[in-house]
Amino acid sequence: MADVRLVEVSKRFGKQEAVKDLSLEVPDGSFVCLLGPSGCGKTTTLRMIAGLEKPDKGEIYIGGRLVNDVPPHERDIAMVFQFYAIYPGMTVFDNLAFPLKQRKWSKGDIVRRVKETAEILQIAHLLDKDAMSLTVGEKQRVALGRAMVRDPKVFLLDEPLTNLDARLRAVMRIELKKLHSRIRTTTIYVTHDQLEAMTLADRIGVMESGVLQQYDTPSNLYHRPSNLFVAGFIGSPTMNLLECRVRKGEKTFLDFNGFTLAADNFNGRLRDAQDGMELVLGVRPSDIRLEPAGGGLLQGRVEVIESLGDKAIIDISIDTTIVRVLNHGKTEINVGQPVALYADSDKFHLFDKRTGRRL
Amino acid sequence: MARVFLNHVTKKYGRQTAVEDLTIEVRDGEFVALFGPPGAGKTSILRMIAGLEDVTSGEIWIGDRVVNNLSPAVRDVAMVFQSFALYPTKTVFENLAFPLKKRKMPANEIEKRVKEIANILNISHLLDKKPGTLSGGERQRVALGRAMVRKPQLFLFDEPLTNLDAKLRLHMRAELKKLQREMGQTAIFSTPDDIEAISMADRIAVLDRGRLVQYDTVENVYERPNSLYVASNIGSPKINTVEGDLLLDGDNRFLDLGFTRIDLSHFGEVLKGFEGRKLVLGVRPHEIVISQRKTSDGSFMGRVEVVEDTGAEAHATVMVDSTYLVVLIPPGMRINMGDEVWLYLDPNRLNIFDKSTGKALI
Repeated sequence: MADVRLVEVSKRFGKQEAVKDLSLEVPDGSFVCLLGPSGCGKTTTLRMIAGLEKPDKGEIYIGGRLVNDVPPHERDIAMVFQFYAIYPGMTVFDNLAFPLKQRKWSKGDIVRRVKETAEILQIAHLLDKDAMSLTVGEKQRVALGRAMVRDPKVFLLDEPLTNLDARLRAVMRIELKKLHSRIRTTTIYVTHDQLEAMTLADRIGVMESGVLQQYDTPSNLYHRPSNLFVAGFIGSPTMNLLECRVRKGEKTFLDFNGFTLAADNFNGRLRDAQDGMELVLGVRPSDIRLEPAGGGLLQGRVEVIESLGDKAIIDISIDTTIVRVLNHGKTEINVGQPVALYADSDKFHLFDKRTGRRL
Repeated sequence: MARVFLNHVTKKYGRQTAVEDLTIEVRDGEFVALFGPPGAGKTSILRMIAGLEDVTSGEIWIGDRVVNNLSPAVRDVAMVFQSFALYPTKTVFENLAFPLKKRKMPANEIEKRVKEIANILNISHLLDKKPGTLSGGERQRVALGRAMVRKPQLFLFDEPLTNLDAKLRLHMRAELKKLQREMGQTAIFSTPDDIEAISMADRIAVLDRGRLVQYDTVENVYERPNSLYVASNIGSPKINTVEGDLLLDGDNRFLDLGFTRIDLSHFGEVLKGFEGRKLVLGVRPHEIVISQRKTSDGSFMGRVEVVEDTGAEAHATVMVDSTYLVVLIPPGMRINMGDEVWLYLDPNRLNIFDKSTGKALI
């Protein structure tokens, strides 16, 4: 077991800065996701931790030891690319034993270690089976087992679920989460899928253009995104982001494209905002309530209803602006109908449009 | 505008039956999804309607005529394929104008029509650009525009959102739905994604290896699936399924799940004759009542194995005996991994299937 620490790590490929001044602490036993769109630097970061890329600048520590100059196989890490990477034609036992044989372990030690690992993964009853005959969930455990047998201090996982279909991904997520809660090996997991990151990680590092945007718990990323990028990237359906302008007088207002909101009750968040300042107001689709027309914060018209079974995504037009609402339970609202929108101003996220930062 | 009617349509490729005795009616102006895994026959059906494949037997009606022997060009159908091919060296305008030029429409009419379509699709500002410089969503809209510009009476979309990334897919879903409604044209799309099907379609045809399993409104397919197949393929997170035995106790029938017994007497005669048979209970995650204390006689205890919180909602995977149940956690309730919780199944909100046939009994 070990913690992982990156101190001001940078990496460029030619002219392109893949990772810029990245500092990150991954506590011992935790599950951390690096999340971002393709090209954000998350895989490069993982590869630097694994020792497959060398940082241009900065320090990488694993278990307190500076590993910048330590070759990959001596870093005591296991990198898992995809859960299908198991050897066909070999039994589960042979699959698990393979990394130990390569390291020339004694037979007795191998048997003991493989059995121990199989117990943890609950695949002890499968050891004699051909690995290819297993279910996908079992195969995944075998692949993980092969990474686990040599008892690495850190697991590095690069988009392991990407090639699976949606249903299987949901099953595998739960498997992985259960497994980690049992073995508690420090895990760093790279993904572009915010749902995977939100449901698996203790903490998530959101990256964009090589820069760490926010490193926080899933709950904080969701409820207190520190900038516009994080606000737009985390959460599905995405947060409504509405441009507006501060109007200060006796009272404070926000002028949007086609409508205005009174903003006196924003808990002082606009105290320092200048008259005329351009803002972006963010509100999550699940934080808006709809009622039949009359009253409410704003009036709109239903444009589209997308049923998801137990809930629905409803697009509401307010003048020329579209606001998305996530409505739980049965939707007694029809397309074309006028509706009133309600939202608690505590649930509004305010960002400076110019810098993107949260107010 | 047109009604589409497939009358006992079968399609065989050699000895393999791709579509078997399919009868389905799509009403004028309706938006219908063909849903099923790969190999379900979705694409074959679309291709037969478009005229790209012959039927082995049966009739295809578009509007008030049988089109079996009509070539694709005269069927007045536009098909948009999964990998939409735009001409890379032509501008967006030229891409949109192409189908009209082929039909020798006068230049001023072409211009008028292209501008009208571009306006509907919100791509007017892109008309002078080349496809290579557009985003995925913009390219998708141009491809749609090219299908729309000659105002066909029927649209066919083959997995229209499959090649887009997750964010864009979500965006295009709403856009496509809105577009279909505004245009008012009959449209049929295929998809392997259940959420795409239920979020966009008016009605869904659920297919399994070439056979139609259920053809119904979104609400009915979700809430009253006619089979275990439909129940377990529609809805995310997936419906929970638990096997049990139907027991007769006096005049009352119970479903014995091992960890709990559910009184099904109120269903009366429906279950008569199924005593002693294996049944399968289906219950959706949001229909299971979860609480931290025992709330009613019928509730049973389980242990929370995993909590998945996406921010907008959280689900618990609860182990009861050796059965896993996924349960929606109501907003505000704090539940952690390892907690012991009580679950309750409302007998009025259950789906029950015969295990041997997979058919819905309730």
